[in-house]
Amino acid sequence: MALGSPMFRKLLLTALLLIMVTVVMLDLLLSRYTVSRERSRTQSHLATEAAILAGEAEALTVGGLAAWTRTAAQRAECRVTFIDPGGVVLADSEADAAAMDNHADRPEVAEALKGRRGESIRRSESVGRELVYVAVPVTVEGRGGYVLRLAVPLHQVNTAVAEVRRRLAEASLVAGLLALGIAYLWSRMLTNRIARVKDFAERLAQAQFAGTLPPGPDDELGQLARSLNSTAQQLRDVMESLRLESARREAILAGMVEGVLAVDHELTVTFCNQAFARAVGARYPVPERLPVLELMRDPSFLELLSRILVSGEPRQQRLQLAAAEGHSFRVQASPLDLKSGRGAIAILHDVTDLERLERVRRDFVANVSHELRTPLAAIQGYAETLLNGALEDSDNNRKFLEIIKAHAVRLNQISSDLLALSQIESDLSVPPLERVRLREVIDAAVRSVEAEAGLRGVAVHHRGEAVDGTVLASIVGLEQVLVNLLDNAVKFNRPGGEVWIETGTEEDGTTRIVVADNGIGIPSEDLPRIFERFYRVDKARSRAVGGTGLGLSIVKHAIERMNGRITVESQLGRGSRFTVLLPAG
Amino acid sequence: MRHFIEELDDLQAELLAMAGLVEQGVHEGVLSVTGRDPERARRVLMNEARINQMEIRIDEMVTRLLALNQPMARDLRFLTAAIKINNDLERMGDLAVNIVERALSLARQEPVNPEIDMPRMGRLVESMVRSSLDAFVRRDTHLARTVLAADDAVDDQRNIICKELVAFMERNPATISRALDLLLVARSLERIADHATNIAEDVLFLVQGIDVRHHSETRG
Repeated sequence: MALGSPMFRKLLLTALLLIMVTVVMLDLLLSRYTVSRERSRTQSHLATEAAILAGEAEALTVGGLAAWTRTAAQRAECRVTFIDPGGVVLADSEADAAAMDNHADRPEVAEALKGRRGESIRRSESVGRELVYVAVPVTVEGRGGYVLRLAVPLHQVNTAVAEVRRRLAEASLVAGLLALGIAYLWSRMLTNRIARVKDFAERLAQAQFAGTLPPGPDDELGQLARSLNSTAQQLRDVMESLRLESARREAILAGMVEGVLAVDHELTVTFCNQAFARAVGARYPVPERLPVLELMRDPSFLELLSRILVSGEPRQQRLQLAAAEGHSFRVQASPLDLKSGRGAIAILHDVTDLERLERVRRDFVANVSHELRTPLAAIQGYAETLLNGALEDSDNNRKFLEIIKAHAVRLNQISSDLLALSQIESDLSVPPLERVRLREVIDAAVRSVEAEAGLRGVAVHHRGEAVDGTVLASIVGLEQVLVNLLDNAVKFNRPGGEVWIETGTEEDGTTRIVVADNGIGIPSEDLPRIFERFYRVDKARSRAVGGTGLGLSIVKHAIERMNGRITVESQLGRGSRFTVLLPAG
Repeated sequence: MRHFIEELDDLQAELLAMAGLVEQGVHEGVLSVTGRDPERARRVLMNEARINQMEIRIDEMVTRLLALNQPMARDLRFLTAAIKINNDLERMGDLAVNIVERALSLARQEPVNPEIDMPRMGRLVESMVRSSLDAFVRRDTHLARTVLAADDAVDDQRNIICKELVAFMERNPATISRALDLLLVARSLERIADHATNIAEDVLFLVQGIDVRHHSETRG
């Protein structure tokens, strides 16, 4: 990887450029130096040789010059030329002396003719090469003025320069290889570190905040790594607090009593809490990306959501859901701006209890005025009739007065029932509970309805194994309860009907007293409401049998004050069954 | 052209939207009888035209999907089930209309109080309708079988109500026309339950590829 990386190439190029510049400069310097050194070395060598040969030449004769010149050239390994004082070449080791022109004008020869050593470097016309010349004055056969000239070609100098250049090339090759290696190692180290930082930063960008980056040496890269590490730590902290926050919100939403449903612009469920799923009869948790139609099909709710998606205006409405039988809800729906478009969120409040309480209160006021007005109207009417002359009508006056009395009794009964109820409700202190023998209370209660039962042709039985036991109750309260229940069972019955009072013990030890009949029963839609004050299933019949509409309300409150419970089952036309549960004494 | 799978999803959504209207119709129908509420009754009548339009649209969708895609196996079963469920839903819608017509007639007359538990029968039938559609949504064969099992209970309820109403009419001949209205309501409810049973059978066919029609031993 490092070999192909841009970093490596840049480092290598820089190193090679530096090496090249160095080599070129070195070459320039060294070759100049070498050339000048070689020349002066060659010249001084030639000067030494010339001095030696000049000594020998003094013993020569002019006739032996040619032969000596050749041997001297061999010994000194250079070209040797002998010139007479007039500039005429007498002998030459490499050229034909006779063919050579006068050499008196050659700078080194001219110098030597003046009696000094002459030197020059120039191209030879005789041999056609660049030569280094040294000429010295020589005495031959006792006569001075002759010149001995030595010459070597300059190529020896060039060879030396080439040698220097070869060494330089070798050295720069080694340096280049070294630079390659160093650039490779250095770039690999750098690129590895950078790659680690880059990977880490990319992971951060992809929201993977785990792990830390080894910072390495304290250079710029190390500082970068350290600041990335602290960024990652901060991101981790932020993410953690966000996660906690969303988990908390999720828990709050999931645990809310109100149903919460969020949908996106395609009416696909994005959130649904347990309360909502329960209200619509769906399974919880709801599968991901469920179309809302598969969660619930209620047309008015769907229309509400669609309207929100179109208009973006929050709305609310009342809703009854088939799956939550008998419950009513208020839905508040608002638009929800999502990235994908406008969604909606709906919050479902169960307002069943609220509505029921409201209705009970409303009905109570209506009922109580109705219950009071009927006897009062009768009393007023008959009293007016009497005053308008009926008082003297001996056939009717007594009858009218009895009707007035009956209605007054009824008013009295209603007000004492209301009083009893309000006492029970307002008196929070529990009445003294005592061990009450069931047999005694039941016998007393049965006795008090016997006359009514006989009139209506209804038989009252009692049976059960727990009848000899005791319960923890108030004796007056329990008798009141049983009389009320038995009274209802007898009155809402048919001639020849039967009423049972059964006792038994529940698994948890509480005592069960059941008052059952095979009378007319209670319609299922009325069952939840029969314990309400003045609630009557069949108003005409109830009044005809002399009920105030408060009996069961009193029963329920009295039992609750004795720490008991009452439940009812009934089937229309088959009879009813009230079950009282009381702690055993 | 949209993708076949997406079109199947659209078809299911359309069926469920129609089912929602039908369920609402049955619910409101029962309430309009027991609550003597002509207002509710009129709301159901208003939805009938919508249900009929949806039936036609669903039929067109299924026909087009069958013609263009030649579906196999499960998809084919889904489309045939969709045709049948569509038909059952439309019939249930009509029966809900029959019920509200009786409710309107009853609301115009003096109330009668025979000892029948119409709300109970209504709840039972409504829960069958709901369960059959939930079974269709979730492809839940277990739930579908509970619908098949509940059909007998509805028949029992209808018989009890009929017997009581006949006795009531004998006792009070003046109430015959009102009692007959109630009898027709019970009969419509019972037939709605039959259509819910059909839907449950279609769900079993859709999921398992088995046909449980006319085999009483597989019921329950």
